[in-house]
Amino acid sequence: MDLKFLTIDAVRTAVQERKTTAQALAEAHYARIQQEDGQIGAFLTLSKERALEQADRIDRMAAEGKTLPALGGVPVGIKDVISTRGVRTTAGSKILENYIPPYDGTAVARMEAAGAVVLGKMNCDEFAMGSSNENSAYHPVRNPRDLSRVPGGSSGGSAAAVAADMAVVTLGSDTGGSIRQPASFCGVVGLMPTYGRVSRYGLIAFASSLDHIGPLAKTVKDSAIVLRTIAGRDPMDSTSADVAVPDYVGELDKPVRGMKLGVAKEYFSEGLDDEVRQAVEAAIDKLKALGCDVVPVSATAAGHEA
Amino acid sequence: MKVTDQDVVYVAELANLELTEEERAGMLRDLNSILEYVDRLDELDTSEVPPMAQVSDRYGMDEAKQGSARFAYASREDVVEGLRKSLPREEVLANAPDADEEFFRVPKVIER
Repeated sequence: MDLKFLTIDAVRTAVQERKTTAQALAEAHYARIQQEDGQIGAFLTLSKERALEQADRIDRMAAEGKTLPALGGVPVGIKDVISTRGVRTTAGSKILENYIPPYDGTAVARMEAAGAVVLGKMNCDEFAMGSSNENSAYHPVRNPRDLSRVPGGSSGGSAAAVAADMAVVTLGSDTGGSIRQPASFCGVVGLMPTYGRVSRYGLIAFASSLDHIGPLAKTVKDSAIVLRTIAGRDPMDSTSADVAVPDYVGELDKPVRGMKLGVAKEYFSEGLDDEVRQAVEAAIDKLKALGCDVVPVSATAAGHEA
Repeated sequence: MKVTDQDVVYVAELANLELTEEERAGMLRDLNSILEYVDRLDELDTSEVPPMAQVSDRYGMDEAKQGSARFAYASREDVVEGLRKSLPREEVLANAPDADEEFFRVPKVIER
C-alpha cells in the first residue's frame, strides 16, 4: 500500500466505502514504522492495542453503513507532551520515563472522538525545550529527507513521522516555533493556532501563557480538518476562548485576491540561507500574482524583534 | 534596579545554595544583565495601550465587555467535582514510585 499520498479524506472515504479497513491502514503504518523508524527515531512509544481497538470500532461503523466522523480511521501520532490515558507520556524526559497518565488531553480526546487512530507518541526535545530534537533524553530524531540533518524541534518527531509517511497527521505543540520550524525543516504543513483556540488540558506545560497545540500534516486541507476537530472552548482549560469555530475547510477554496499579506523585514535578517530566502520570496511572488496585497511591515519595537 | 552582592547572598541562602566567591560574582553579573535586558521594555511608549490582565482578555464573545469581564465565562463554581469526577485514588497513586494507601511517600529533602 502506498502511504505517500494518503490524506484524511482519502483514508476516510476508502474506509467508509470498504475499499480497505482502518485496521489494515493501522497495520500498514506500523509496518512502515517498523521498516523506517529505526533510522529516523520519530516514535517514543507505540500504542498498538489502543490503535487496533479504535480501528475495529471504526471498521464496525463502516460495516454497519454508518457515516464515519471527520477523522474516521485516520492513523495519527501525538507529541509526547500531550497526555494519553494508559499510554506512557514522557515529554522526552527520563524524569517521566514510567509516567502513565490517568486521563486524556482534550485535543487527543477530540481527535479520537472524531475517529482518529492513535498509533503512538512522538519524540520531542525534552519538555519541548529545543529546536533540533537532539535534546530528547531518549534518542535524537533524524530528518527523513536527509538523515544527516536534524528535523527541527521541538515537535521534530511529529514532523518527521508525517514526512516519512509513518502517520497521516500528528499533533505538536508550539511555544516559540516548535510546530512551525520542524514543519519547515521536514517539508510538511505545520499550523500554530491563535492562543486560546485549542484547549491545552493535558498538555505538559512549557510556558503556559505561550503554549499552543496544533496539527502537522501533508496538506493545508488536512491541517484545517484537524484544527476544526480540536478547536473550541473547553471548560477544563480556562484560557480556551469562548469563540465559535469557523468552517476552516469551507474557507479553503475561496480566492486570496484582495487579502493583505504583511511581510516582516526582521525575518529576512543576516544569516538567512539563500535557498530559504528564495523559497519564501517565490511564495510571496505567487501570492502577489494571485492578487494578494503584499505590505512590508516591521515587527520591531524599541529594538525588540518579535 | 541593580542587584547587589548582598542580594545574591540572601537569595542563595533562601534557595539553599552554596556559592563560591567566583560563582557569586558570576551570578551578580548574570542577574544584572537579565534585569538590564528587561529594562529595555521601559523604552516602549505604552500610554495608548490598554492594560491587559492576560492574553485571553482579548477574546470572548461579548465585545462590549472589557478586560477580565470579557472572560468571566472562564470561572466556575468552587465545588468538589465541579467539571468532572475526581480521579480514583488508586489511579492517582499508581504512578508514584512509593506510596501508602493514601499518600505519596517522598524522601525528606529539607534538612534545616
